[in-house]
Amino acid sequence: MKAIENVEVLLVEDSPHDAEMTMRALKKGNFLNKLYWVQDGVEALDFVHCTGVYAEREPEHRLKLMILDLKMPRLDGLDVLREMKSDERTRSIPIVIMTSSNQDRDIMESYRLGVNGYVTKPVQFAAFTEAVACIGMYWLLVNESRTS
Amino acid sequence: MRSPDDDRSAAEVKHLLAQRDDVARGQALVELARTDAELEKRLAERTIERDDVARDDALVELARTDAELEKRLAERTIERDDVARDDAVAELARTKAELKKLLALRTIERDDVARDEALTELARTNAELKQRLAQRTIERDDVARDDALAELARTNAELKQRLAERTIERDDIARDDALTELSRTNAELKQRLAERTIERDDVARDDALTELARTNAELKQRLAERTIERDDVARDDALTELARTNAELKQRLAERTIERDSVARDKAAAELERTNTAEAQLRTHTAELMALNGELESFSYSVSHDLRAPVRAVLGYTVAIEEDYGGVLDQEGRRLLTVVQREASRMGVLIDDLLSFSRLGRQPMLSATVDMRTLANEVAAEQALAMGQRHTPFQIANLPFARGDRVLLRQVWINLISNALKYSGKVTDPELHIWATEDKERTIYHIRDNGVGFDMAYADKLFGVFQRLHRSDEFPGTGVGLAIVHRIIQRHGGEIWAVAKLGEGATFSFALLKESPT
Repeated sequence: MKAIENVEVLLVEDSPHDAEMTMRALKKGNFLNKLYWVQDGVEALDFVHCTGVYAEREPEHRLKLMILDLKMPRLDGLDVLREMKSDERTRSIPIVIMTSSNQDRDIMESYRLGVNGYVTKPVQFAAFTEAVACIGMYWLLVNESRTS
Repeated sequence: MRSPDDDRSAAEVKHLLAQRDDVARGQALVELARTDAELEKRLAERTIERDDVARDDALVELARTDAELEKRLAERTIERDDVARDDAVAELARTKAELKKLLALRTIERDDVARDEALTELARTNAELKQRLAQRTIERDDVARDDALAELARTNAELKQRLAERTIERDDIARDDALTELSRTNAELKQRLAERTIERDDVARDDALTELARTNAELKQRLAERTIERDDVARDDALTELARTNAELKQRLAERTIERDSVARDKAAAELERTNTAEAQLRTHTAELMALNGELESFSYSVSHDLRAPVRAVLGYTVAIEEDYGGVLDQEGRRLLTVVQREASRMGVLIDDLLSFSRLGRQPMLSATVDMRTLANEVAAEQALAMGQRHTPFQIANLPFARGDRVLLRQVWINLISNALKYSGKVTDPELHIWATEDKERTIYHIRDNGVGFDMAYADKLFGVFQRLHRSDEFPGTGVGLAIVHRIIQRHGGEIWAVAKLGEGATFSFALLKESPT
């Protein structure tokens, strides 16, 4: 586990392979050092709210991006999204759903809950890498996020 | 007080009285004898008188009875028993002789009782005779009998004539009746047969008609024969035969009608039951199919969804090996890695195609007016460009507008146009045509290429998912494209088909309902 104080991107992904591939793609864009990976929704909310195992994390450090999978054990992506967007303190954190699902219902529901982006994971690695790199590039470099 | 004189005188008186009594008795006896004789004489006279009267009476009565008998006999015309008549005559004569003898005897006897008996006997005999005469039908008078016989013969002749006339009449009536009945029955049968449309038992109907015609002809022939004959027995036989045949025919018809009715009813019932069962089965099957379809869709969706992750991982990790360790692998190692990558990649495409096909069934469909000409031109240009062709090799005619989901119809054009380009890619001079024809309700869009075509024997596999008619090393593809096209056209209520010949290209046609002017 890397230092949790300088995290800009929180990757919420239950699949270690997808996580590894995501991190590999981000590494190419040199964003990897600012990424932290949690494996389910409960852990994600603990990290954001500095609770549970992340109680000692400094809440002043705001995330610039949350990359959120939908299908996860315990609390799934839509639950995390709902929680984040209904909380005044976390509402402004950009969340991009990155999932295998391109089901219309999931897409509609995500936007209804206030998601900032929705990306279906490409099967082909090149496309996958490109998609992840684009996301990182845009939200970390192009987009102006609210600073603490 | 009495004196002796008195006693003497008393005796004298007594004696005198006695004398007187004797005289008186004698006189009385004489008188009695006289009276007796007189009475006897009178009786004799009376008896003779009365006998005569009675005899005369009897004779008169006899004569009267005779006359009566004669009269009655004269009236009697039918009796032909001569023997009986003679017997009766003999009996009559005998009786008369007996009576005369009896009368003679009675006259001689002069006995009241005997006479009375004789009279009683006479009366009895008379009565008996009368009774016998009444019972017997005797004809004493030959003339009267002959008359009666003549009358009888005449009457007989008349009766025969009448009977003959009646027979002819009745023959005619009976024949007409029979013919009427026959034609009625015939008409009835024909009607029944005509009514019997459910059955469609042509063979049975024809048989019935043939039987009817045959019976008809037979009956007519018989009637004709009988009519000529005019024989009582024959006529009766004919009528009986006619009635019997008619009855038989009717019975047969009734039986056959019942039989065929019941057969028809059974058939109808069976048909109904079969239809009901089929309907119920169809409903069940439809429900099952719909459930199965839904299940399959969610299954294929989740399968493709869950399959993507490992494929993505395989692809990702092979790339990682290639990137990180490409340098340490020799040529064969890199070749093997390439095969893994290629196959995993193909699997990814299959899954993605399956996923998009699966999505088609669930995706809500929009309905709008779609400019098919513009759409086909756009897609043709895009696809040609994607295939590295600078110019669109398509000749696209004017296409009528369509009603449907623009995105889905675009997908149809994409798949059909890319197929046409792909399968004519190896032809030196590709010719691709897009045009439309119309019928009453539909517009039919056609796309023709002069590529490799396919064997029509496999045409039914053309639109199945993952069905391919060409090896993927000849023409890449997953076999989902036409399945998607088929699905989209189906969802639009249309129809798609293809005509092709191996080595001579293919024509795909899809029909959509015309855009209604709303």
